[in-house]
Amino acid sequence: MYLRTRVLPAVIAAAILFGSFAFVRWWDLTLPPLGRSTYQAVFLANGQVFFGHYYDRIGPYVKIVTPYYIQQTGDQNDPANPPGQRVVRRGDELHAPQGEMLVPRTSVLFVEDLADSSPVAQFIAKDRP
Amino acid sequence: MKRWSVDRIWVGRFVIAPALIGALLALAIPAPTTWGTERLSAVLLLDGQAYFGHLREVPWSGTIELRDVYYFQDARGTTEGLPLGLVRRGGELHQPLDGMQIRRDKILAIEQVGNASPVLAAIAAQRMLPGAPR
Repeated sequence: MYLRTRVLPAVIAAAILFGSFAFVRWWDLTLPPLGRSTYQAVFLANGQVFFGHYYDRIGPYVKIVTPYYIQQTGDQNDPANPPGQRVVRRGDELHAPQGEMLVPRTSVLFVEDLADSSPVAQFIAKDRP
Repeated sequence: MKRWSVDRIWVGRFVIAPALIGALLALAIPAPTTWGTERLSAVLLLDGQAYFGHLREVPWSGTIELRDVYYFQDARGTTEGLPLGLVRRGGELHQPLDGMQIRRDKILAIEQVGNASPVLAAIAAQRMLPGAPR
């Protein structure tokens, strides 16, 4: 009787407290991304596109972990250095951002899954820290 | 046929209260990796402007609050000899007080400023200037 009325509720309460803490702290208010591919492309309202792990958090922000973007290289007027594109990991900017971006939902146009065979996904898989 | 009845007091005491306490603890206690370091956020706006400062979410509102705000300026006008020009918000003609209320729907992204970043070094240099708020 003591076990049922005292110990069991305390164990349940402790498990719920721990689960709630973990949901907010370690899973960062995200739901498990079941059925999604490994990386996503996130198109933003200003025309920028970021690639990485996209998490649909509960609340006003979505999260992009280890974001990458496409950088234009070269110069159209320089034949020795023709224009091109390269995929760059975010982090070398002046403020050295630390591996994740919070983006307000209102700034997201749409999200697409990347095929595992896509050059961007393959580059990210090789380059990730 | 036996009817299920829910003891609301029991559910409140052993389910809802621990869930709320766990969530509040997770929000209130900073992660151990951030202990002892200043947490500066970069707020990138849709118009291309970037502001750096201490971020505070204003719950149930459409805004965030940024305090102790710095932003980029032409580096030629600065005095601390860094290649990067950052100024503290407050010295403009309208002399705004500390605390920018930024509409969330005008924000492009929010990131944490790296501890070894040129932005943090420039802010530290700004704070060392005579008369600068600490």
